[in-house]
Amino acid sequence: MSKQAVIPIGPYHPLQEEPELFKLYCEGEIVKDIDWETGYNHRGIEKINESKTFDQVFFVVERICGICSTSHPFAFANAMEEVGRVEVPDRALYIRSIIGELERIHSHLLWVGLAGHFLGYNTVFMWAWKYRELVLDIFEKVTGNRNNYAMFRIGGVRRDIPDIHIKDIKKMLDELRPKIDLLTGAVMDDPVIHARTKKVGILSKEDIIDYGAVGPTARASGIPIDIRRDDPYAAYSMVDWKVITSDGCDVFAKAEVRLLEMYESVSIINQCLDKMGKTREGDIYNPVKEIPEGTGYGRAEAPRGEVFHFVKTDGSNSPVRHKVRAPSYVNIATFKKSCVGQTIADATIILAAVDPCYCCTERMAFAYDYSSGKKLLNGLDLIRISQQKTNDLKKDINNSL
Amino acid sequence: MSSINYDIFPDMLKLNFSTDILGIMIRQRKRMIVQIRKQALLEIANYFLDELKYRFIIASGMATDDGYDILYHFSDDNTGYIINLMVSLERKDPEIESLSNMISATNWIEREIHELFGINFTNHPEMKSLISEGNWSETDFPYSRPARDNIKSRKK
Repeated sequence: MSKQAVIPIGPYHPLQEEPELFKLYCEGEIVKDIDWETGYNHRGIEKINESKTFDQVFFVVERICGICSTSHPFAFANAMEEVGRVEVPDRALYIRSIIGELERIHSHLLWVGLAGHFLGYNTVFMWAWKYRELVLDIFEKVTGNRNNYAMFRIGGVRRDIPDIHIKDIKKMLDELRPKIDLLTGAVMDDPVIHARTKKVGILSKEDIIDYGAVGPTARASGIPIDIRRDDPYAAYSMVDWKVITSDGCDVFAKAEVRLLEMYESVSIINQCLDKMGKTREGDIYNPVKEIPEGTGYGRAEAPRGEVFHFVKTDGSNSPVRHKVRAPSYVNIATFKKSCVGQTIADATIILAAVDPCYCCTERMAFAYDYSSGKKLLNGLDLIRISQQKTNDLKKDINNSL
Repeated sequence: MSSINYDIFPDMLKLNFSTDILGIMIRQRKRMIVQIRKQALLEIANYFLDELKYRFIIASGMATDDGYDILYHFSDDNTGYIINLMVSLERKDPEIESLSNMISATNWIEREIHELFGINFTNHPEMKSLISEGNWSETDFPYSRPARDNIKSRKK
């Protein structure tokens, strides 16, 4: 009888960004089963929101996720506007879509970088993250923040994009496009990346339906679901774009979907900017006096898939119940299908392939010694330790063969 | 599959499941709450998933004055409709049949609802802690009281 070994990934693994523990039960090099422990970052946000006013909730939900920080306020705004039957001015709808798509680009670039890093392509990692800065620069210009943009409110957006900025943003997007070409070429034409990612981490259509997976994870298995098209919100029904799907079902297909989606996003932003220029500057929200009793269902297509917010109100100034479902909640559960039967070496890229955003943004960059105030471990040390661990793991695997 | 005609959808449901449907609420466009008897949950959920090919989004637990409500949110991706199955449970020993033997998507959320509200899901294939492990005691259910009871500052 072969011996089963447990390989833990996490809970605080520097390369994982966020805390979650995966236990890989392995026989030899093959993963036989996977188990996980979550809740390391459970902050009780749904309960906190019951004691916040609707305007405050936007700032709380924005902090659920640091990478796709706009998707939660987006879905919450949709839910609240459904309860209150609020009309949003066109200009605000365009601005919302622009922010949403910029976020998709920066999130996908971040993923491409991380995926490259996991595969040992640190050049891809550095390129992708360097070019992501361009998007963050646009964000800084438009919202004043590189992350947590605080743009949303019930009935519209908080800040306008002045018409004089449209030209600059378009210029920056033009600069970004060849960079996406470069990355797409680097990933799509590289035989080693093909060898590492094709036929790896297969998720069939049936698996996707069984687990209810969403976003690029589902679209890479040939299931064309995209809330932007299926249940249109913001300005998505007013511009031309298409849903990117792939029938590959493997890790490569997920990369392909994400890379091609970035082109769609650039196109959506350009169209939104053009159409926004024709609306009246400053007309960015309709004031809302009160929210009646009722229930609202808000959905938004985050970079990782559908974000779902359910809000129940009782006519007061805060929600009675606020349920949040982030896309990773359903996507992470698919590991049970995609990881089992694969090798340990492929496990990290399979785990990374759904772009998991565990409970979002509890980053560990420094560990301080409180008595002396000295830094014990900084970010670089952690990466060094992690790479050491990877090397050790590699050696162990080599030795056991 | 051709898309469903939602004008006749409430009548169709009532025709198929007569006494199991307690009420149908349509407040907004493309949104529907179907209140059902808890004994009929498996049968109706099966009809939604298998026949109508809905996608299970998530379930929301809610503490009410008399007990608990669970809303099972289903999405019809062809039309953008969200259909919610709503079951009401009593406050003492709330219990309902698990859907996880039918579809894996409900596995995590049922465990989460159990930990937060104390609702028992019978025949769940993997009933162990999901988020509470080491965080709070197994007999303490942090969401089990209605929001109104906890918050004094709520303005009407």
